[in-house]
Amino acid sequence: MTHDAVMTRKRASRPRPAAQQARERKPRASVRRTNATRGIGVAVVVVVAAVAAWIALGNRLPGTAPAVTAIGPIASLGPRAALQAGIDLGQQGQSARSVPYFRRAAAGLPGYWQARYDLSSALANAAVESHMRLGRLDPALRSSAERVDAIVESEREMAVAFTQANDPHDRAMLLLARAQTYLAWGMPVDALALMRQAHDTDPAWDQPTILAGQLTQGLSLGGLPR
Amino acid sequence: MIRRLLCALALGLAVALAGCAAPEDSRRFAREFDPDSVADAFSRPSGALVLPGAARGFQVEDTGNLYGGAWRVAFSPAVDGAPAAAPSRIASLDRWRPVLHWTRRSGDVRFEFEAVAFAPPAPADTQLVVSLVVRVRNTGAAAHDVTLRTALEHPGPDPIFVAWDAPDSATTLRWAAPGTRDTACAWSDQPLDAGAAVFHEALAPRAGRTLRFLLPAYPAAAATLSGLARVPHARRAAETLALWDARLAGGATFELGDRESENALRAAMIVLLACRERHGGLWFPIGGPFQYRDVWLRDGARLAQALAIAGHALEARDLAEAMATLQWPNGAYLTQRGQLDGTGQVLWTLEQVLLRASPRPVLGTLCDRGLAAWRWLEGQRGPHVRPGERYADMLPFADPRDGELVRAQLTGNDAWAIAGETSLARLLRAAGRNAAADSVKASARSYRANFAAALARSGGSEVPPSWQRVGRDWGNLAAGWPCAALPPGDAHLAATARRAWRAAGDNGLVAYGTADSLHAYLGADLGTWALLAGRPADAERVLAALLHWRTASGTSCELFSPAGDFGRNLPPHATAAAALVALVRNMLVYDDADTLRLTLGARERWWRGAHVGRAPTWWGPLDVAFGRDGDTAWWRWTGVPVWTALTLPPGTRLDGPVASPLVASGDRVLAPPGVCEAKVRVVAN
Repeated sequence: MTHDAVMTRKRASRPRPAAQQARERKPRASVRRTNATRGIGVAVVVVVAAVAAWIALGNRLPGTAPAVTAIGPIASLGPRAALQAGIDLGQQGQSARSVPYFRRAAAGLPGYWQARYDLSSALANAAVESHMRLGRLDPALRSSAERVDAIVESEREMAVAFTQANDPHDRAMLLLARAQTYLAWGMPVDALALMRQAHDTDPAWDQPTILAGQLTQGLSLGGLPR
Repeated sequence: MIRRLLCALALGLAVALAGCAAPEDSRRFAREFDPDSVADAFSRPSGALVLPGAARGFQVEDTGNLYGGAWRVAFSPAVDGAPAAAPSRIASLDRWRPVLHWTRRSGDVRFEFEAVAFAPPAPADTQLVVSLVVRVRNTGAAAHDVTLRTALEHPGPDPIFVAWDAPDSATTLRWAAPGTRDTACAWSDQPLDAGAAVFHEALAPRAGRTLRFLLPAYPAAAATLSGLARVPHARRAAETLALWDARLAGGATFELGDRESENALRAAMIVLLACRERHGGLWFPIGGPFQYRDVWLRDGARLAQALAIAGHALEARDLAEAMATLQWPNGAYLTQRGQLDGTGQVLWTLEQVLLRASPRPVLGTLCDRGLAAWRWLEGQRGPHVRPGERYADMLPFADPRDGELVRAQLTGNDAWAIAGETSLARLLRAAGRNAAADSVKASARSYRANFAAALARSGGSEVPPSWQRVGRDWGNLAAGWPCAALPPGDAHLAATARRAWRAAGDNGLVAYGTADSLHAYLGADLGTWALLAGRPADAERVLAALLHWRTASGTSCELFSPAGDFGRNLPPHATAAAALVALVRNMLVYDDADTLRLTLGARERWWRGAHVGRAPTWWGPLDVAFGRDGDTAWWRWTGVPVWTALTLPPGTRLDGPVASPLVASGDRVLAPPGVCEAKVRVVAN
């Protein structure tokens, strides 16, 4: 039984811990790392981060305030301020804390698919977030039950975002973000299927195809390094 | 009809007689006993003060201090200025009763600690409070200057575990003081001095004092603690013992004439029942009360199954139904990254728990969840999904960061998937969804054939940890049992067991990774496999190891060195407890087949006369009594609608033909459906 964390899904502007190790389990157990699919995972993260940057910068919500420095009670915030507060917390690596702000934003901006995407990302990141308590790094969420709940809600929000996003490239990006989640949790076949869907959704975008090719190769090697 | 009545009468008599040998009266606890006289296999003592549903628990550390994940209660006893030694044992009476005792000594003076965990009245039902007394006794002929300073401390650097809801920075550590409304982390009847409770007295020869403490796992109002302290410690202890006696009495009974095994089972059951945590309205299994306070499906499956076969049907059902909610939108069950065995384990758990329940619960929604899981499993594999792969018909690679500790295609994932599909087919059949059951059963059969073919293709003589033949033993050791991915007689299983046992020194355990890391439960499945493969002596060796490697309170941990050092991997571990329960139960009553098998591996000493009561089986609750009187072996059991296979006492064979309707079959006797007693003549081999 070992807790560990994974590459988080996030907007480009947010700092990203490379990996978050939560719990050590086995004495004398040295974890052997291989590179075949780690490279793919990193590549997916880079792509998603780039796309998220496009969302964050190119599609900035009109009238969004600059980053808030002090976050007020959620109920007192309007949806745009809540969105920004969530982004700020995410940038501080506090995805679990950002979730209620993104929920408020998504509820207040019902047609804005990016808010749904942000909420979905925050939930997915919260499921792998670590938190320092009394000198020990442990998962931010209490238990696996809450982490699975977070993933389920993340997927639900992503589905809503997908239906709201009209641009094929946006939709492909959302599919690739989901692929990242499945890959990070260790379900490569599901990730591969989503990468292929992303390619079919926006054939002009070559990243899904490249990543699918790398993942296919990793699968053919049974996960071992080339 | 008459035969069944006679059987019932005989069983009733057996139960009544067995009742005479029931566990000791909890009042016996009041008598003094020396905790240092209790055996402990480990090199340093450790104890657990835990309760079902409580969100925190206290570890009694080898120093004699208590730590609950947010602060430490540090006891500093001293005599004439010399500190008392740390305890050498932290023990329970009979090595199972959940009141812990430990003694610290300095010269003639003994500091005798006794602690018990109790739940305060609702609504604080996730709270746990420890009632602790220290009996300070001067056993010498001269007076001594005796002090016991008890302080509250922050965890310090690099704690082994921290409570999930501990504050980010240190808690304000405060003793309950009269007249204050503050919350407090401890209460004592001793005066407070400089932030500590301090007893200081010149203790006359033969004199003694009793000091009282209440230690909540969460800060509590001083007035609340004072109110709880009005109930004397002795009453708290007696109530706790009675409560646990009642809890255990709700399950199956194992009266084996073997106190070591019986008490080990009781200690294991307490661990299993205590390793449950509530989230919302659901009860989830946790790996352990300290560093493993979370849900791992691989541990939860074992915990729920062990509770089910030990007769704690309601608790097991709660756990199984909670585990069923941990499903991803794609149908997979996964709580830890890369652990693809979870899907098979949840399906197996549902079958193991729910199909033994009486009455059987409604299965509709669970079947739907099961079918989604099955579709996910089948969608992962096959040449059409992953063309050109050498092992495309097995699950894809995984990186569990645990167990096999390698990124590869893990055989254990496939073994568990096969077990899960087989279980799901049975669940669907029980729910009357026969067409779906047929489909799932066919896919399980095909999967099993693919597994055997892949094994042949891999070219080795064993079941390797991964199809790529890398990694550590883990899920591959479950391929024979409980997964039944291969038949018990398969040579790969025997070769795997032989090699794994030898690597650990043929002591009944297996090593994890290296020979200097023994694993408490990893090899326990090999014990049941050995039973099914007709190798009861091997199973006996596994049981002996499980019984040996326990603390003085009867619990076990996960990993330890051959010298008994468990490092930071604190006991108790739920799966280690489950392993013991499952193996003992399987040695006595095994029903994971279309034949009921009794005394499959009953130990020699159990044949002096044993009784198992209310053991849940596929065919309903079962009572069985058996024994050997000279050259006669006998069994009486609740009749079932399938054949029953009776294994003879160890080292014996049949002496002559058996009476109809029994049928002799090697070292076994077969009884037709409905038969509920047998008596045969045996002779030493």
